[in-house]
Amino acid sequence: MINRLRSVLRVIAGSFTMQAKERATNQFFVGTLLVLPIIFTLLSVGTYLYGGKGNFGLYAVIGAGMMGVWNANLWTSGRIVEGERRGGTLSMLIASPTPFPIILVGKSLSNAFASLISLVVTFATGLIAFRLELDIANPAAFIVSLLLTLISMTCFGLVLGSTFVLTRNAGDFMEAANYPIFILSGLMFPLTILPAWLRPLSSILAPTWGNLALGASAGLVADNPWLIDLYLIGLSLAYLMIAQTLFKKVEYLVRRDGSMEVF
Amino acid sequence: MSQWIQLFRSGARTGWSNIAVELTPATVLGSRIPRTILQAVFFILISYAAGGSELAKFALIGNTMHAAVFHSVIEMSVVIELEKWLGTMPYLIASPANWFPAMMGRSLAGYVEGLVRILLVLLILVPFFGADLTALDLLHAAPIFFVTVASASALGWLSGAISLPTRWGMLICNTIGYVMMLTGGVNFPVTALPPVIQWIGHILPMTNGLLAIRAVIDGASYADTSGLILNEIIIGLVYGALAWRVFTHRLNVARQTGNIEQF
Amino acid sequence: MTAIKIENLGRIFSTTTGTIRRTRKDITALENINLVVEPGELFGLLGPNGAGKTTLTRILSTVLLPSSGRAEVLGMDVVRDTKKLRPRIGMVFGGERGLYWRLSGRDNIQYFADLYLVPPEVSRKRIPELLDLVGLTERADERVEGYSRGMKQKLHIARGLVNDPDVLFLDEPTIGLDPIAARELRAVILEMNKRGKTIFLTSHYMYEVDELCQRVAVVNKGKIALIDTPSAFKTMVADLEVVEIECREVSPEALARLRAHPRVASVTMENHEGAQSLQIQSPGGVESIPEFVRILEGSQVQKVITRQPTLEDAYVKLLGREALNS
Repeated sequence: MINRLRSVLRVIAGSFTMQAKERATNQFFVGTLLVLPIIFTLLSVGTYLYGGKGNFGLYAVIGAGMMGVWNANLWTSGRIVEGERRGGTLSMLIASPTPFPIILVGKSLSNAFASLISLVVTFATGLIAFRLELDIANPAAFIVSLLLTLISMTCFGLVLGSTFVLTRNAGDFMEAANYPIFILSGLMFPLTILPAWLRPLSSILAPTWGNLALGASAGLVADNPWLIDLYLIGLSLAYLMIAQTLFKKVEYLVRRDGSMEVF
Repeated sequence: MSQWIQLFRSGARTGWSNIAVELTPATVLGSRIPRTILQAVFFILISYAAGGSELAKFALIGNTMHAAVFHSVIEMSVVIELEKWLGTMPYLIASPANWFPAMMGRSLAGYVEGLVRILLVLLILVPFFGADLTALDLLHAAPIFFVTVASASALGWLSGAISLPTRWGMLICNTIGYVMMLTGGVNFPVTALPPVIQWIGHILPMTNGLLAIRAVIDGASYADTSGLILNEIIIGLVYGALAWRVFTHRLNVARQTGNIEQF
Repeated sequence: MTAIKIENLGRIFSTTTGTIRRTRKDITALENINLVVEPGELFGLLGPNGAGKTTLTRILSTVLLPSSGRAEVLGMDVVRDTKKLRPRIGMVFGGERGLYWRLSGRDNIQYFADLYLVPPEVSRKRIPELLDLVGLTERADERVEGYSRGMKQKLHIARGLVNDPDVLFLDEPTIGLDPIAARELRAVILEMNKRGKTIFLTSHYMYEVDELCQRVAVVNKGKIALIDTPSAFKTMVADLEVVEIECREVSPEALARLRAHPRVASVTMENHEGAQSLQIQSPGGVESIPEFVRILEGSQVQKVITRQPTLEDAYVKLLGREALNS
């Protein structure tokens, strides 16, 4: 049991470093974690300042950072699977004795932690470009919420990643899924401006709760951050269960149809 | 002259076939249209949250224009970079024809798709947000759209030509697209931004064209907008000339150094 | 007028390594090349990888500039007279790249026909002919991404012929093809030559050059080692017989004694899963077989045959074994 756990951890660590090396030379990552966060901060904070709602500055700064986190995460699931398929290595990964989601976990976690850069970048942009006062009301809760947010996003990415194995258009879907997620999870504006019938959809998305937890820790929302953190844990577990079931099904389909080689 | 027309037609056919492959009902309905629309919706909602329906309407007009401009910057960049990706550069160098009309033809499909996006955003989002654009004189606006998308295309060629020897082409043209959104007065008047950033807008395409469109909605006459349109044309010509210079230079360097494949 | 005339041609590539402390390194790809190809000739350029074949083809097809010397194709300078020259030459660089994958085969040729300024009334007739010549008529309207490697290579040839060039440059056209596809492609090349085209072909396959070319130049490390007909090339080794001995566990001492034998010109050895195959080039080799076997005592000799030398043997004699393996 312990040996098994150890070997699983080794796989996660291995794919973690692999991904880190790959990332440094990847334009999507430089764009996602450095360039876009700056632009999105300028865009959103600029809009709120113009609209006379400067108090939304911190909200927008966190939101822009979360967009980077999400982009990096979605990139993992979509582009990695697509890349492995192109390179012909996907079938090897599927055929290896380690379950595919575990390989993905390492890669996703690696990306998730790297994606913290985007939060640093958005905070810096807010401070330098707009001289915003970015006070975090409850730093301890903020850090815990941040960690749980990364984990829940990784788990959500696994659900998507498992289904991406099935399609050659993973990259396209990924990009198409970007803005709907940004809108539904209220990263840049309060969810109350959306129609009520969209709420159930928002409430099953990790970024929604991650953003809420960070907002509550920062003192922007009146909710108790620790309660939202608990919800995030539950959500992550639910994602993991779904990912596992989904992946078994997907693996079966892929092997039955031989669709891994076709792209 | 007839040779130029033949080359232009041939390039247009090739460009169209290249895009047509992607235009299946699934990708158009599942990815291309939603992506265009939802990106606009996202930014319009931020403006709505910041400044109510007046600012939302402002952003609706801005994002209509930007949807087309963003697309053409990326597509034109791709038109040039495709030569590198496919390894057709040596054949382009060795062909006796002037590549200029052929490349212009290749760009046509992307330009037209840009204009189609304007129509699409107007048709879907104006009723969706209940915006009142009855004052928009389409006869007056159409040439402004034509000119603005064309001058943005010129910037796209420049982006493609500059990034030809690098692996950063997609990041560069995407960044340009978002910078234009920031500095061109798309979501809010740029006055809320630091002066340096405001200044960038004046040397980029679209800023003048967008001002002209907004003026048309406010009932401006042809004489009122002619100055802005002229600015837009001049900016487009300057970027076009620069793109031509840089691309010619790239071809010459390729012939001298033999770095055609490593590009 | 000659089809191709090359005088003292050279080409140096500069590469830089390191990002902070840049060091420049010059690599000589071609050195002092002199060569004449007559109109209507099918000329082969033979050499190992990295010998400079591709560099020479690219210079002759106006895609790359030489560093020194000059070259003329159809009497026109490849550096200065590109405007007049380009419409009259065609080129095919091996490999799968260089095609628009999302377009059909026919559209690809059509696009290049336009780039080569072929009048529409001519291309309307010529494109089906070319597709027919390379045997792609039936699949001409499918997208290239679905083509096999051989089909892509054939499409490349058709593309290279679209302007009905007087001189055609083919850089390793059969590389990576299966034997059947390669044979089909060679038939097309011969057919083009019969129709009067001058063809300049590079290859590192001996039999290909032997089968196709009227004359061969062997290049190695950027220099021409020899220019002659394939048969003259083979007479270099005509006085030799080749004795092939299959055995096991050849000792280095035995190999050295073989090489030192007065009637042995050269010995090359290949390993196949524990067994060795010795190729001994030797004048009057048949009589010496008993002596060779005696030297190899203890090496479990399993099979001995003699054969006539091939172009490959001549190549080995000329360039040494490394050239063949690289």
